[in-house]
Amino acid sequence: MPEDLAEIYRSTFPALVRFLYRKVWDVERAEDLAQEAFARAVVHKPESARGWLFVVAANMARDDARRAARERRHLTLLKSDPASAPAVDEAVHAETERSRVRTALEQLTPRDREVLLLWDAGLSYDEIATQTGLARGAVGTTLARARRRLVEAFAAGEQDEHIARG
Amino acid sequence: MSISHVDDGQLHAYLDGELPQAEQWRLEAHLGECPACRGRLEEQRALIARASELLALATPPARDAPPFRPAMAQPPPPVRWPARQPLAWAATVVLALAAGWYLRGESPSAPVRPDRRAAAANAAAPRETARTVPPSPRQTAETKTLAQQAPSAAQHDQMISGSAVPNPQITPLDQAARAKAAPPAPAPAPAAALAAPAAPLAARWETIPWDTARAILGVEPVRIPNLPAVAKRSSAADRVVLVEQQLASGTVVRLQERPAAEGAPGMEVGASERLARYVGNLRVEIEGALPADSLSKLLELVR
Repeated sequence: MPEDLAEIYRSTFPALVRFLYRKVWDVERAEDLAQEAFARAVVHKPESARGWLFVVAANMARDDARRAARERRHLTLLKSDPASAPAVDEAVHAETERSRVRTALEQLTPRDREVLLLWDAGLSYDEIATQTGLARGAVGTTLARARRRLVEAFAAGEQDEHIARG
Repeated sequence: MSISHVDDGQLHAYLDGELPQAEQWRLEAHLGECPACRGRLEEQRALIARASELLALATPPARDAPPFRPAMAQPPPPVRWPARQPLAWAATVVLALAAGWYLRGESPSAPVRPDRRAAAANAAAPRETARTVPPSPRQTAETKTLAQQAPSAAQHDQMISGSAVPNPQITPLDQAARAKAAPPAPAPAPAAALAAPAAPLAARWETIPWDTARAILGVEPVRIPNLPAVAKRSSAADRVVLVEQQLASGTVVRLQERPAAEGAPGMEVGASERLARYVGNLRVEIEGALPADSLSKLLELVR
């Protein structure tokens, strides 16, 4: 089992980090959670480790987000905006795009978002069905809807910004 | 069986390569005769591409995956430290203390310098004057021949400082001879001169091979791990082994050990900067700046 897991780790870790990143939006946090998910897999030795990893990781990200929200509330009064360092245009642009995608993703229903991110992380329809409880035949439909909404929401976001800039 | 049209879910499953074989054939058959669905297929293909593109924008910066650590979930196994490990820990404390002392410029015992040999030579003159006893006629007579041994006498100084230069033929006479042989040094080296009162314990001891020390004790001599050690004894008849280890310039740890059956070696405590305690059969002596409570802690750990 540990050897299988090591192999899964090699093939899946980057995808798991990516998956988690789109939930917590912090690379280091995402990596920590991914590590933690693998650590739990080592202990629990789940049957289908890959799918299991994503489900556990998703749960951890949810808990993490809740905790982060709590902390944010507590820190609001203490918070001081760090002077934004002059960044390269390209980096600024990438950051803007990233936050637009994030906003768009947040407009999806939790289920649609989950299925989309799982597919993007490399899980098969079968794996997604097993992990989300969806019927296998519903995965394609869910994905179709999720993709459309993501693209539309992103476009709408761009539109809004153009209008806002005048 | 006629398929009216295919739904988006099927098209996505098809494009994702996830449509079961039978459904795939049916879908392809329909696409062959339905331009509208072919158009929709291309739309969905573009949509999928666009969605992937957007998701790719929300990709964290590429970083290498850290190495897989299968043990990362399990609590670290209880480490069974070797019995002497605490001593090694204490050694670092000693090291820090000694360094602190040294930086204050008040090193009570001879600091080890790169030009140790020169320091020894310089030290010889003031040491001679400090010794109020005039040289005996016999010593004066022997000066010439003994002077040739001066380099080896200087090496003896190195041994006192803790390095492993075996020189079993050292006699007090050699030291006197070196004093004679050394050119008069105008600048006295007080630190080196202080080494003389600290030295007598070690000076009487000759360096012996580690194997010999082991043979005398019947067991592996106790020592601080990962630190060079020199084994010494005072004479071939004596069964006390001195393990000398230099922690830092100015700090030397000496462990006096003798076969378990023979009880603790009784030796006098020397200069004030030297601290000595007994742990069972083991006499632990630290030369250099070290508060007594640190030694107590060290000894507690040894116990």
